[in-house]
Amino acid sequence: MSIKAEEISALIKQQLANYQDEISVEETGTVTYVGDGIARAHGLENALVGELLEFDSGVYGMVQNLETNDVGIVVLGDFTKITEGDTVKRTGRIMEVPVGDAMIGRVVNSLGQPVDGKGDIKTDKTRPIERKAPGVMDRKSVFEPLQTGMKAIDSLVPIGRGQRELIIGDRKTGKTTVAIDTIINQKDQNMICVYVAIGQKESTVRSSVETLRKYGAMDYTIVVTAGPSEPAPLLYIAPYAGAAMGEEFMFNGKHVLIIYDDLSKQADAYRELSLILRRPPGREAYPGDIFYTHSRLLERAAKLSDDLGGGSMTAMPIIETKAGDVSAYIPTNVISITDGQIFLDSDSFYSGVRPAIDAGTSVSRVGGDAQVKAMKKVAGTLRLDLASYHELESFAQFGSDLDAATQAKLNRGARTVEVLKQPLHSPLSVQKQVLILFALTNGFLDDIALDDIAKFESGLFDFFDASHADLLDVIAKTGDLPDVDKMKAAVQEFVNTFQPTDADEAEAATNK
Amino acid sequence: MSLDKVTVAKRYSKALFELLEDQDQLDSGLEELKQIRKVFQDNPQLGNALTDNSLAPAKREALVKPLLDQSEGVIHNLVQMVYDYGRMDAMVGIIDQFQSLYDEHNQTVYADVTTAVPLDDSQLNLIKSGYAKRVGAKQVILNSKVDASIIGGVVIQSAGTIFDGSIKTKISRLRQALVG
Repeated sequence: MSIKAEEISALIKQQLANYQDEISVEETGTVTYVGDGIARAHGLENALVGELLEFDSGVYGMVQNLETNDVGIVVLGDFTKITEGDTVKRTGRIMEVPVGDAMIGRVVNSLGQPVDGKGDIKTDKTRPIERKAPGVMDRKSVFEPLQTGMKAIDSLVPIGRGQRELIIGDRKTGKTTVAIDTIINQKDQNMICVYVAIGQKESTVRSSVETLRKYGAMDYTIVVTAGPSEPAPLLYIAPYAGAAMGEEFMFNGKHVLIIYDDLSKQADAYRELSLILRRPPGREAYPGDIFYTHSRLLERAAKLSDDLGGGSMTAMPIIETKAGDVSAYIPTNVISITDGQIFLDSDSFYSGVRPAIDAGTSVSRVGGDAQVKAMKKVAGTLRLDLASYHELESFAQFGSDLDAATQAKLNRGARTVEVLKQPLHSPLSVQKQVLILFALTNGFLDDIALDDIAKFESGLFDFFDASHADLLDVIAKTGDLPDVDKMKAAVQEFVNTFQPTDADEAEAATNK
Repeated sequence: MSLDKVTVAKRYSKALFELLEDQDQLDSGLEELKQIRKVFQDNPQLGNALTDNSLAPAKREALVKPLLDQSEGVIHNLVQMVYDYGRMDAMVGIIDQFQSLYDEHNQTVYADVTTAVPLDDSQLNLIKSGYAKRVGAKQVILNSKVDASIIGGVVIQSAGTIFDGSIKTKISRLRQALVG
C-alpha cells in the first residue's frame, strides 16, 4: 500500500473544516465523598437521574440519588483515581451502549467495550441502556416456538418467542448449561443470542465462550460480561446494557434470545450500591425498588406487533436459590414477574437425571400456544405420567405385590424419566424429540430394558434418518404428526430389529 | 436523624437574611458577620468547643461572651440563639450561606479567571463586563489566576459552571475529532 500525502491531508482538512471553535460551557460540581464505587458531589444543581457525568480522571458516573444538598453518583469504572475536591461535569447524555451487527460474535463489558482482544467494534449506532418497555399496543401474543433442543423442556415447559422463562435452582444444578445448550440449539433458527454473565468467574465465562465457539454458536451470539472484580455499578447495569443490544435487533424485526446469568448477583450488586448510597434497606436488606429493578428489565422482553416488524426478545433470567429455598425474596419476585420457570433440582441432578428438571414445579404459562402440534400430541400425557410415577414410586418401595396396572405405570414412568435424560451440549431437533416421545407414549419402550433406552434412542434416530427421513420431514415442515399408522409401523420395524444388550455383554463391558 | 450542617445553615441564613432585609441592615450585618466568621476561621476548634460538652458550661459562656459583647441587634440575637441551640459548629456555614444570599440579592457573581499570562486591568475589565452580560449580573468580582499549562485563552470558573475557552481544551477536542 502506498501512502499518499495529499489524500491524507485532504482528509484531515475535511475533518478540520467540521471543527467548530466555540467555548465549552459546562455545569460542574465538586466531589465531597468517594468510595466503594460511589461518589457524592455538591453542585450539579440541574443534573437528572440517570444522567451520565464525567470526572476529572475521565471516568464516567451515573446519577442515582438527587438529595437536598448533594447528588449520589455511581462510578462506572475505576473510582480509585477520583479524589475529594475533584470537579465532575454534566454531559447532558444518558448512559448508552454501542449496538448493531458488529457486536455479534464479540465479548464486551457492561459499557459495550470489547474485552476479547479482537480490536475495536466498528459501529456508529448506540442505544440508551434504560428504555421503557413496549406498551400494550406494541405487543402481540406469543405464538412461535423457541426450541431449546432439550426434550424435557420442549415437551414439558415449552417456551415461545417473546416469553420470559426463569431458570431457577441451587448452585451446581446445571442452570448455565441449560442456557448454553439453548443458545447452541439456535443455530440456523434465525435467532440472535445475547448472553449476559453477571458476577460469573472470568474463567467460567471464558470456558462458556469457548464452548459456544466450538459449536459455532458465537456466529450469532453477543456475550456481555461483568466479572466479580468489577465494581458493583457495572454488575448492576450489565443486564440493561445487554437488553439494549438485544432490543436493537428486536426492533429490526429479528428474533432475540437473551440470557441473564444470573439476576441474584445483579440484585446483590444493586443492594450493595443502594446501601452505600444510604437508601433504606428492606427485606433481606434489599432496597425498596429491587422488584422494579427486575420487573422493568424483564418487561423489555416482548413479541412485537406486526406494525413494529414482528420481532421478539425472549428472556431467560437465571436465579440461584440457597438450599432449594424458592420462597426467599429475590426468587419469589422473579417467579412472579416471569411467565413460568424451569426448576432444577439438585437431588435429581446428583442421581443422574440430567437436565435435572423438576417436572412438578416447572411451568410455562404462555409457551403452550407456541408448541408445535406434533409435540402437543405426543407430550400431552407426559406431565401426568411423571406425576403419578413419582407418587407411586415412594409407595412401591414398601409393597412387593403390585397389580398389573400399577406395575405398568411404574414401568412407563421409569422409562419416561430415562427418555428425558440428555447428555451435555447435544440438542435434538424437534422432529427427533417428537419421534422418541411418540415411541414412548405408544408403549414401544415398555419392553426395552432401562439401560438400553439410550442405545435404543440413538439407534431409532439413525434408523429413521436412513429409512424414514420422509416422516421426519413431515413433522419439520408441517409441525403436525404424519399418519400415525405409518409412524407406528416404522417404529415397530425398528423394534423388531433392535438387539438389546445381553447380560453377558453388559458384564463384559463393565469389566473392561 | 439530626440535620446536616448544610441544611441547618440554609435555614438559619434564610431567616437572618429576611430579617436584616426588613430592617434594611444587610450591608452592616454582612460586615459584622464577616468579623465573626474571621474569629471562627482563625480558631478552627472554636465551633466544636462551643457545641459539644468538652468544656464546662461556665467556660463556654466565657468564650461566647466576647462574641456577644461585640455584636448588637439582630446579630447579637443570632449568636445567642445559635449558641443556645448548640449549632455553633455550623456558624461558618450559616455566614457563608448568608453571603451567597446577599450576593444573589445584589446580583454579584464571583468568578475565578485563569489565563496563561497575567492580565492587565483593562483586559480584566473587558472580561468582567462581558461575563456580567453573559450571566446577567450587575457586578462581577474576579479572582485572577495564572496557569501556563492552559497555553492560551481564558477559563472562567464560577458557581457550578465552567466557561472554557483555553487552547489546551481546544487542542484536546481537536485531537478527539481527528483521532476519534
